[in-house]
Amino acid sequence: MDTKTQYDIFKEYVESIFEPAFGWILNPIFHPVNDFLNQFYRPYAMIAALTLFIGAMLWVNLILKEEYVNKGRPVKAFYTDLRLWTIISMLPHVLVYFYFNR
Amino acid sequence: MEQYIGLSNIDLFIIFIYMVGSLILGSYCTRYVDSVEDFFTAGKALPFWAIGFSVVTSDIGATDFVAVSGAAYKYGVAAANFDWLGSMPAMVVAAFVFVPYFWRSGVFTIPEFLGRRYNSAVQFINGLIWAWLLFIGLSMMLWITADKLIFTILGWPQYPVVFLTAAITGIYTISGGLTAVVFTDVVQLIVMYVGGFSLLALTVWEVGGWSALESKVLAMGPEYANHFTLLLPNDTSTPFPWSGIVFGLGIVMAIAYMSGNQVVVQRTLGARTEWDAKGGMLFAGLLKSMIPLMVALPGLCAIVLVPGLDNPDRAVPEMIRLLMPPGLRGLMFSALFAALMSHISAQLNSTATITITDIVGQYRKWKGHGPMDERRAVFWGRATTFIFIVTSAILAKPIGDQDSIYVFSQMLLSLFQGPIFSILLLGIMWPRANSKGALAALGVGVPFCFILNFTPGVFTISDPFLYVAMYSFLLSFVVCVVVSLLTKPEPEDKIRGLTWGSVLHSDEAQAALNERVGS
Repeated sequence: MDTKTQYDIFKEYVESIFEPAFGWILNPIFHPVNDFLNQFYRPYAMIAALTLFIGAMLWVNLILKEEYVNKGRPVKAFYTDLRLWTIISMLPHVLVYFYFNR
Repeated sequence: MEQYIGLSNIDLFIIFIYMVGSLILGSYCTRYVDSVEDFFTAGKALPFWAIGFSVVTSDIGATDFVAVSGAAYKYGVAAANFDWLGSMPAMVVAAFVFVPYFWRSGVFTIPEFLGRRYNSAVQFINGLIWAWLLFIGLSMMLWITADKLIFTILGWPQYPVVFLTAAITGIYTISGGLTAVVFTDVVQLIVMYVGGFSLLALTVWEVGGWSALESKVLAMGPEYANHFTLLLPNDTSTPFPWSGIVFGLGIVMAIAYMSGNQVVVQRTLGARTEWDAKGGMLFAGLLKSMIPLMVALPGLCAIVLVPGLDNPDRAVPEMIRLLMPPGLRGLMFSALFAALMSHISAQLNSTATITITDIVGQYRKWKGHGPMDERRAVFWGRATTFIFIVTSAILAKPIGDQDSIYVFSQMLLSLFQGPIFSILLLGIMWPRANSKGALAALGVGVPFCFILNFTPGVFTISDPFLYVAMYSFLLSFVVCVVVSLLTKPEPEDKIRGLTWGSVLHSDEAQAALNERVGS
């Protein structure tokens, strides 16, 4: 049974036009990029992912000014310090990515 | 395999109590609505914890329980990347880069912010796009949940479920505005956690614990070898290659979603202080990190307990049918209704806010009319909410049954996300970005996305939406920078208080912004 939706038909039609029209420009640009990226997996994937988490923690804790990070806080106490909150919310993720790196 | 799951009287009673409780709580919040600011941004009185709960709840739909679990059944834990790497870093960036600017500028919507930063045409076009996407999303979510979830699992007829959900959600959203939406969200997330974690505990127990789950799944064959790997190689057959996850999802799509999606950001605009706005986002990130535990892990357990399912989306329904006793089933279905209702109320409130602020408001401005008075604006806010919920319920089947409309809307959203994020980011971070650069970025970036998405053979994976978002963002970014440098900068007065340095370092700029907002 043919279960094609209208979107599938639309997609096939557009693809039939775009492949000859743009494939010859896009493929030589993106295929080498794909091949280049395919060379990298471990440990680069892990390093890149951890950079997002650790980089964000370092940015908030070391680069942003404390007065900007905590502007408007109700009480000046350690538990209202959003720099600490950032670390607490990020660390479980770092551990999870280490655990599932196999 | 049985087709439907039966519910006992105790289950039905729990669902009934949950529905009535939500209605009473939401309607109670009506007493806090006196002005348009109360209706659309909860009178700027929300504490961080309510914002955190609400951000997470408005993001999780009932279908996520089924779809994410199905994806975990099929692809493994890599499906959880969307709630981990695709959330927390983006929420930190949203909390400290975007949210303070939105909150300080006193806007009700993101298109309104873009209108102030660039021009009113950008605001109007963005408003139209978002109102359309949110309205389609409302109808789709109502129908898909009623049809693909409730009808498929319980056998209940679709239209009564659509109208019952729309009526309850509509009543409290119309009467209590954002305050009602947020405080019912708090209760709904608690219900979701109780239901979801009950299912997780039962499934992991049944499998024999975590170690047993791992060893049993990995022993099932080489096709399950990557089921416990979060970052998959680039040449994976799944839609989740690591470079797409890290760069496309983590850096572009997630930040665009957390910083540029009205439904997410509107809660922070209602914060009582800037600290609550930022803290609410961080707290939401922590709460959200637990979502995969209750939506993805039961899918992994299902591999062991019900192997060989033709349709992976049957994983959660089968777990409920096999493992949950009467009473807990009622709780689990209350959790699914909670996810549906919170999603609907959030989209409804945001659609009304954008319609009144960015579409009707701009139209009145162009026609030379002044802003509406408070009572009229609240009345029209409620009337718009009523019209949207009734229309979306009536059109739920015609729109929801057409997979094409949903897929097309999602495709459009993915086409706009990279380019819109580039102009939003440059708009805040780079004072030199101007309206010509922004329009050029949209003009080049959106067609580029379309071409990249529909030219087969460019990427090796089957559904390259992560790569499309990444490359369209990069191109739009470059175009905006180049065109802005080649054309005149925006007048300093226009952008004062709306860009990074001017708000961060200059009290004078903030005072000028406050004065402009006040006028």
